[in-house]
Parts: sequence; C-alpha cells; structure tokens
Amino acid sequence: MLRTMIRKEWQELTRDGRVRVLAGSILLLLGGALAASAVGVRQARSERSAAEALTRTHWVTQEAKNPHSAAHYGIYAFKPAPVLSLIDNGVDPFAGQLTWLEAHKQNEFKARPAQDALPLARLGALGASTVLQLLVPLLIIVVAFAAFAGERESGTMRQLLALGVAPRTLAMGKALGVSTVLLAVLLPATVLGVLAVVQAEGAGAVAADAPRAVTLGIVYLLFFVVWIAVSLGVSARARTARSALVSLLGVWMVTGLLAPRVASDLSRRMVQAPSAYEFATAIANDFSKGIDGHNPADARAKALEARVLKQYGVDSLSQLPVNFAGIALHAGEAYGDSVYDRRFNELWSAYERQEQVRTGVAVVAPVLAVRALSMGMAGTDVAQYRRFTDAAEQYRRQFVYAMNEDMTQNAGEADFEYKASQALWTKVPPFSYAAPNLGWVLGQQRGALLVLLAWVVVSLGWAVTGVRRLSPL
Amino acid sequence: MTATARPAPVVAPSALREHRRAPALGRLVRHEWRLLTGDRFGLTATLLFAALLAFASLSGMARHAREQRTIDTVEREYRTRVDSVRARFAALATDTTPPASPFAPDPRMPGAVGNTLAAPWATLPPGPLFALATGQSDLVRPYVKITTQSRQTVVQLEQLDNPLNLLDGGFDLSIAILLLLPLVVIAVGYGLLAEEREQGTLALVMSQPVSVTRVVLAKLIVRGGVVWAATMIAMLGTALISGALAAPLGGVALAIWVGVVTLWIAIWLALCLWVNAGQRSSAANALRLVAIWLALVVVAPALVNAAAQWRHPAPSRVELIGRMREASNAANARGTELLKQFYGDHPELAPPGSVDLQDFAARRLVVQADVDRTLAPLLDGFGAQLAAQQRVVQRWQWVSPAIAVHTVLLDAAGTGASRYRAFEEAITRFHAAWLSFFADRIYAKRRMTTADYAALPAWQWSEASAGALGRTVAPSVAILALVTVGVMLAAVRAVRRVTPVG
Repeated sequence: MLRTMIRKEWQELTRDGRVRVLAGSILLLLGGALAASAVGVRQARSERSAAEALTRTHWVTQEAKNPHSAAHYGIYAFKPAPVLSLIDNGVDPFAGQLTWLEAHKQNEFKARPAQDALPLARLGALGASTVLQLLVPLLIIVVAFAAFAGERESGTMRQLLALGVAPRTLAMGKALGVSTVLLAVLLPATVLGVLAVVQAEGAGAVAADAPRAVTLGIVYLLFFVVWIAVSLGVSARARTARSALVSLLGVWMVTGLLAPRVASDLSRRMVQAPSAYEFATAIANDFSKGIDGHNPADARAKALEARVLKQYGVDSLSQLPVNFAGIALHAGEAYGDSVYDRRFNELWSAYERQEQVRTGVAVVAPVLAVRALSMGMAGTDVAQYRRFTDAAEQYRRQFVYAMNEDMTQNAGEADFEYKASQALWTKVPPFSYAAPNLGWVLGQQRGALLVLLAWVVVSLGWAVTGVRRLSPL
Repeated sequence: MTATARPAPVVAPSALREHRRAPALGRLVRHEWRLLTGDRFGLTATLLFAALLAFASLSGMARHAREQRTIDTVEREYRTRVDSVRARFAALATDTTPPASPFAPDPRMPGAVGNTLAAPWATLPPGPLFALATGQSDLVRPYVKITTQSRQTVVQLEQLDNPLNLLDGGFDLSIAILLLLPLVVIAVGYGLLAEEREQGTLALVMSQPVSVTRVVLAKLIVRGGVVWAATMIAMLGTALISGALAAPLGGVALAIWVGVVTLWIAIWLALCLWVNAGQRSSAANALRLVAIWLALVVVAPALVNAAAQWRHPAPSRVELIGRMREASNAANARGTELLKQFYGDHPELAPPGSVDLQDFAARRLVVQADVDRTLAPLLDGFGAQLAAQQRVVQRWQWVSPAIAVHTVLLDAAGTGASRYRAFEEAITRFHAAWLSFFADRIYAKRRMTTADYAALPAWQWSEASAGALGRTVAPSVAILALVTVGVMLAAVRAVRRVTPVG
C-alpha cells in the first residue's frame, strides 16, 4: 500500500516540469558553487601556508638586533580557511584574514575579503549554504503544497478516505513521496560535497572533519524535516492548493529572506557595539592613564623604578643585576594586556549579545538557527573567529614576553644598543592553531540547537494534528 | 485564504445599465479598489510591506544620525587638538632648546606634528540618501586619520563591526525596494486575470462593451498605484526628514530614485500581466512569478558577480604581506645608501652643515618612501581590479534589471562603489601631500614655523557634480527603461490574445 503510494507520488511529481526544472537548477547551482569554492578554499589554503612560511623565514633570518626592535618587527598571523568553509563560508568574507602581531599593541584582524568585492556581492552570493537554506525549502514547497489540498480540490480525497485509507497512512505516503524526490536531489548533492572536500584537501582531512561534516548533514536534514512537516501541515489544512501555495511562499519569503536582515538590524539597535572611533578612543584613554615603556620620564615609570630598586635592595638602576628597560617594557606590556583584555572583551561580548538577539528571532524563523549551526560546523562562525583571534593574541603576548625577558636578562648597561642573535629568533616557535572539537562548537551554538530541535518537534506535532483532522472538503 | 471566493462582479452594476457605452476608467479604478481591499492575501501583503517600509525608514534615519554624529565628534576632536597644539607652539616658538627625546610630542618638531599632534581626519559626509541605502557604508569607515606613516598603514578604510551583521546587511529601503517590492507586486498581481477566469467573471467582462486592455489598465493602476504610493511616501519621508534636500546632489539623487523605482514597479506589473495572459491557473502563475523573481533578483546578480570575480580576481592581501615584508627588508638594508642618494638628488633639502646618514627620522622616511614606491602598483591593483569587475557587471546588467536597479540606487544614495572609491583615491592623494609637506622639513632638519602652521595641507572632500552622477547612472537607467518598454509591449500583445476560458 505504502509502496504504491510512494510510486504514485514519485511518478506524479517527476512528471511535473516545474519540479524537474527546480530540482535540476538546484543540483546545477550546488555543483557549480561547490566546485568554485573547492578551488577557492584550496587556493586560500596554499596562499596562507606560503605566506606563513615566508614570514616565518623573514622572522628567523632577521639580522642581530635589539630584541625590542624584533618585537616591533613582529610576526603575522593568518586566519586558516577550514575545509568545510566550502559548504558554508559564513562570516569569512567579512572577517579579517590576517593581523600583525607586534610589541605594545593588539591589532585588529584586517583585510576582509568583502572590502575588495563589489556591492553586488552583498545581495547574497550563491554558496552551497544559500542553496540549501533558501532553494531546497522552495523545492519542498513546490512538491508538497498540493499533497492534501490538491486531492481535496480535485475531489480525490473523498475517494481515498472512502476506500478506507487511514489518514495516517495517507500522510506517511505523502511524506515519503516528498522525501523521495528530495533525496533524488540530496544524494547526488552529498556526493558532490564529499568530492569537493576531498578535492580541496585530500581524503585524510575528510576523516578529521567527519564529525563536523556528519553533524552538518544532520542539521540540514532536520531543517528539511521541518519544512516538509510545515508544508504538509499547511496543505492538510488549506481549502485549495492555491491558498496552500500562497501561504507557504509567504512563510518562505518572510523567514528566509527578511528574517536575517531584520534580525541584523534589530540586534544592532538592541545592543550597540562601538564604532571604530569609539573603540580606538577608549583604548587610547586607557593608555594615557598608564605607563609607556618608551618613556621613563612618566610618573608611573618612576613608581616602577622605586619598586624594582626596593625589590633588588639597591640604590640606583646601574646597580641592578638586570636591565631596567626590559622590566619597564614588561610592565608596559602587562598594562597594555589589561587594557586590551578589557576592551576586546567588551567588543566581543557585544557581538555575542547581538547573536543572542538573532537566536531569539530564530524562534520564529528556524533558518537563523540552521545558519548558526551550519557556520559553526563549517568553522566559520563568530565564536570560532574570536577563538582564533584570542589564540593569536596569546601567541603575541608570549613572543613579546620572550623578547623583553631576553632584554632584561642580557642587555645589561647596553640598554637598547644591546643586540640579540638569530638563536633568539628561532627560540620563538611558529604560530599554530588547532580548531576546536565538535563538542565545543555545539556548546557555543546550544541556543540555536535547542531552537532547531524545538522546531522539529512542534512542526511534526502540528503536521500530525493537521492530518488527524483531515477532512475531504 | 482569499475572500474572493465570492464571485465579485468585475464591472460595476451601474456600468452595466449604461448600455453600449464603455465605462470610464475612473469607474473601473474605483471598482478595482474595492476588489483589492476585499482580497485578504493581497491586503496582508501590502500592509506587511508598509510596516516593513516604516521599519526600514526608522532604521535608516537612526543609522544616518549615528554616522553624522560620529563624523561631527571626529571633526570636533581634531579642532580641539589642533587648537591646543597651536597654542603650545606659540608658547615654544622662540625656544631653541632641543626636545626632551626623539619621541617627545614637541609641537616644534615636524615629525611629531605630522604624525600625531596635528594629524588630520579625512572625513566623508554621509551621501545624500544615506538613510535610504546602507550599501557599502557598514564596511567603510568614513574617517581616516592622515599621518606621515606609509600609505598602506594610513589608507585603511575598514569599519569595525560584527561580521555577522555585515554578512546579512541591514534592512533598508533599497533592500525593501529591490527584494521585497517585486514580491508584493506579485502578491497583488499573480491572479490579475487568472482569478477572473477561475471564477468565470472573465467571460462576463469580455462580453461587455469594454476592452480587456482597459480593464487590465484599471487593475494595474490600482494595484501598482498602491505599492508605488507606499514606497514613495517612505522614500520621500525618509529623505526629507534626514535632510537630503539640503545635502549636495540630494535633489538629483531623489529624482533618480523616483524614476528608477517607478520603472522597477512597472517591470513587475508588466511581468505579472504577461504571465497572466497565459492560460494557466493562478497558483501556477504565482509559482512562475516567484521563479522569475528568484532568477532575476537572487540568481542572476550572484552569477554576474561571480563571473566578474572570476574574470578579474582581486589580488591577494595575504600575498601582499609577504611582498610588503620583502620590500621593507630590502629598503631597510639599503637605508644609508638610499639616504645618501636622496640628499644627492635633493641638495636643497640637505640640512645645514654635515649630513648625518644615520639620522633615525630621515632614514625611516627614505626607507618608507622606497617601500611605498615598490608597493604602489600592488596597492593600485586592488582598486583597478574592482573597477574592472564593475565594468563586467555594467556590461552584463541587461541579464537582470535587478543589477541595474541595485547599482543605480546605491550610486545615487552615495553608498555605492563609485563614491567610496573616489574617497579612497582622494585620501591617497591627500596623504601624499601631507607626507611630502613634513618630509621636506624632516629631511632638512628644520623646525616648524608659524608660517608652516598656517600652510598645513587641509582635507577637503569635493562631491562629484550632478552631471558626473548622471553620467554614471545613465547607461543603467537607459537599460532599465528599455527593459520596461520591452516587457510592457510583450505583455500588452499577450493580453490582446487572452480568451475567457482556459
């Protein structure tokens, strides 16, 4: 019985030219997007590792110079391009790709790819994630809107129910029929996705990314289940196929198209993040109250001097067994760290609260929850961007500390004339960053996960009650 | 869903009584108005649209106010700072003792004055219709501090923002017009004739002494008019309240918006009509129109943009870092040689007495100049590639009118690519002038004079002329007008062949 129903649905749906055109376009767009981003990700990865190697060579081959000059020369950190970003590049186009790690300063990440793109790119690039989040639900609507309403309108519902088909069986048949059509698109799409990932990084990396990739797949499947349930629920309740279609299209537009932009505006209005000027001014003000490692005339430096003299039990700086300039630099860094910790923490927590506003909007537009989870799995959400910038900053602090420590121990009276050799440069390990595991990401996105699961439960329940009350008229 | 299940007479009963005389258009329009207000779905869509327009207007005005406030703050900060530096200089002008340290903020030293003390902000006022279109304004910082550092350090226009918000962009009137307005037109127009046919009233209409074209015209006037009026009220209201008319180019920009939005609505009305002329059900029409919308508004712009990026890829900023390091390592190694060569080429800038080739400030400058010279073609490459991409888009904009609408709305609003590129170029030129003013004095080891203070280069933003704006948008507007006329003609021809039954 069920098999007959599925076969009937499959035949009817695949005979519909609109379904064929839409499914074909989705596969074509998905294939094109995956191929293009596989090439892009591969290029970005090789570019970054080349740049890392080159700037590392620059660092270790520095001539003998004062360690503080080397700290000013600095090191560059490049944001890695995760392989799964080829499925969802998330905030990557709008996040800085690199930063200069130098003495005294925590620089922001610079060089957003979007800066070098046209305004047209802002209308929305057609990445794989856009196709999955926007176009696949449309396909679901097109194959499901008439499921019950169409039978009702053409009078065949009366016949079906009169034959003694249980509404539940009918609903199962419809749901499986719709799912079969969807699978016909999703299976080749999955193959394409795996091929793209292998192409971008080789089979070894696929295994490492497998937990994230599988979770990514599950998230999208749950999202499609929600759409199938909503579409069948609406179709079960609608009097005509037209009204089912028009209301589903309305929901699709409002949630898929409007919700992200409105959520972005709302979050900006509810949580004000500082502008570039406000942020820089706040940091500058914090510093003007503190000490400056370059300027021993400063009052705070005087206090430091007194403290150090007392600590070593000597009367003048020349009697110190260590170099005072190095100690002053240490103190300057420590003060700077406290300023940057405070201000960057404020900035990121403002962004976090903005994201919470979005999770709130996701309660009415589940696509927002799916987006958050999708970016999370791909490694391209704001939380992982922050985690990376934090790691880079910790690395900066460590290598600047190593430079100042060498100055303190070895400069003696030579002060800034003291020169360290290449041995010191190679003692600084290269910067490396390991992406967090699946559990960490799910913990960050638990709000979105809860919203998505709630949507699955509620939409299925809603579809079931709609089917139970199925009326032939 | 729709309340139009009750077959409504298409021609007013009074018109039926007036035997053999075509009803006046006004009467048809009045009747169509009644039909529209009875259509629950169309009405919901229109009201939702109006509410979203209001939301976009308020957001836009708030955004405009914040931008203006930040720029005012920045300019005030500069005036206060420069006044205090001038005052400190006046007190020190005749003091010939050397400064406390080479890094001291001494208003007599050109290095300190040019790099920090009097470093000016180059600011860009919000474009004339800033409140109507966010465009690239959330990516670009409209204030840049001009110092004597290198070009790649100074000419940085990145705004600080949550990348997630940048990814989604805001919801503003330009987005409402571009993405939403066509959908609202579809919502009120997908059943234009199909519904009449489904209810059997189309046959009734066609048996009356009135041409279908005329009835259709009344429908278009009412349905299009409502959407047009709502959009115009939001646009003009936002523009007037945010002071667009007082801004340079405000009037021209607003006129361009009115024209383009009118054409855009006309295109979608014509598309609705054209689809309705086919003998399909209203549900099929709705699907077909949404598919057209998806192709024109979502897929085509993304594909054209992807093609432009593929044809003229932006240079890599990651690679640039390596090149920059290499250039600066090479220049640093040749510092003494470069400085010697410089004083050889510019004997007029040599300080009195013997030349110190180890002088920190002069060496730093000559090394920086060498790096900037090496990097200039690379840095110029970013703007050049973007301009090349823009040309590709311009060439392919006939693929979808949405591309032309988007480009024109942003360019007229002053938040598009062209104005921000002009800003970046102006900053680059101003930075060069500012740097050279102080470099001459640093090389010559001269101190600042009262005359120097009076002659400091001043930032001045000059807005493009109305003619230049017109020339920028003219090709896109022409394409839009052609598309509108073409689609309308096709629709009218199709409607002439309409038959009362499917």
